[in-house]
Amino acid sequence: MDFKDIQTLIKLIHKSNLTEFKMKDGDFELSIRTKKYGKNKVERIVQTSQPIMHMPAAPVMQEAAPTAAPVPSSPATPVQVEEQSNLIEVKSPIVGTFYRSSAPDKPAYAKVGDVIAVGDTVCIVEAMKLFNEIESEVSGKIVKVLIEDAQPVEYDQVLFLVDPQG
Amino acid sequence: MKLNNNTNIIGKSFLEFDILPSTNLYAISKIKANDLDEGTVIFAHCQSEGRGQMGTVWESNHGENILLSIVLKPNGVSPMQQFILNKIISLAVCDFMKNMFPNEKIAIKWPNDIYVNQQKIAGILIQNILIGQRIAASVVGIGINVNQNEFSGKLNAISMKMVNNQNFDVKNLLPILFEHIEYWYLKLQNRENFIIDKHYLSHLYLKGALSQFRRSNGAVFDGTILGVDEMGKLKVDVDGVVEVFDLKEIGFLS
Repeated sequence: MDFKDIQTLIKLIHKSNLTEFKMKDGDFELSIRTKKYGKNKVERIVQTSQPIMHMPAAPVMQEAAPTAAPVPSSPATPVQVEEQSNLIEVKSPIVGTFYRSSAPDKPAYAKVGDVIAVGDTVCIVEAMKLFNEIESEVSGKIVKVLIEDAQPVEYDQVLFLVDPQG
Repeated sequence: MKLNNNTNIIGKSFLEFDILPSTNLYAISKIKANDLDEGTVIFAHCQSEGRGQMGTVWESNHGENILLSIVLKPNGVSPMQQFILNKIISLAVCDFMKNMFPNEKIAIKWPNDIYVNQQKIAGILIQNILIGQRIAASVVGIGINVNQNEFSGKLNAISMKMVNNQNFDVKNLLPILFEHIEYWYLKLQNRENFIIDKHYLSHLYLKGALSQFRRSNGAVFDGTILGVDEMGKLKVDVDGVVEVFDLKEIGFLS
């Protein structure tokens, strides 16, 4: 199974009602869990033998997974209450490198505890020397920054968690 | 400065400054405050904090060069496709140089420089404002070395004056540059991506020529540039295998 196959598989699972998928083929093992699985809403893909990109197909900013997501067939799937279901995920619209500030000596655009308004720049994602200022579509308080400065980000990767009531 | 430009979009509105920290940053702050019209050009005779990329400074003496930013609102270009903005601006600056120096060898050095005879004469820095899955505005920064007489050796840079020993009047150059930018911007608006890609490839520095490169781990290797992928990454044939490089993963030794 190559990277493209895995991508296709993830897309299929994303479109289906499945919350978890496991396969084994010789030495190769693959296990995929969707956002609706259990309470782990950020980490969607649990890989075993090789690294896999996040490859969802959702819009940039999305309400956090609903608390009582419809549970499909498998009785083994635990239904757990999402404690922070009111949080909004701010996601990367592109593949690139994440920067928290405009230059290494400048302060971060958004830190935990900061209150942001719609239209505020929250970070920069650089892609092939094109620098993208990401403007927030939501207002609220930053509760979590999920990625370190100058680290690569994938398309749709969650960058910040925002509490809209914050 | 009064310009005689024949363009309908690019440079229609022209804001001139003696000195600005950075024309790009000025444009971005103005877009956020009250929305500059598409095609607005911010021109500075000198930049105190002109940027090459995160942190590095564009070396420029007062009044000797073209330093400007253009505001674009490229509807229809999704954030994922944004490298095409780099392509059309690279082609426009490349064509401008070919126009000025028809007998010199002009090429696009991946990812964002323009070379005349293997030396850097211009650089491009694009900054986008993204709202959700949309490019709300794109600020295209262009730096062209015009009348500067010397550069520190490590830059491998050249000016237009150094090419043919002649001083240029920036005021006369800008309308020509704007025409080339508008030409390629209209190609983008008309979705003539095939033509854009074809011309980009035919002007790509070292394309098709076996050349020496260095990996991020320091290893030197020979390869042949084939082109760029849809993300803008460089495709290189290394001993019959096509490898794709992000900009931090490869250095040019040729």
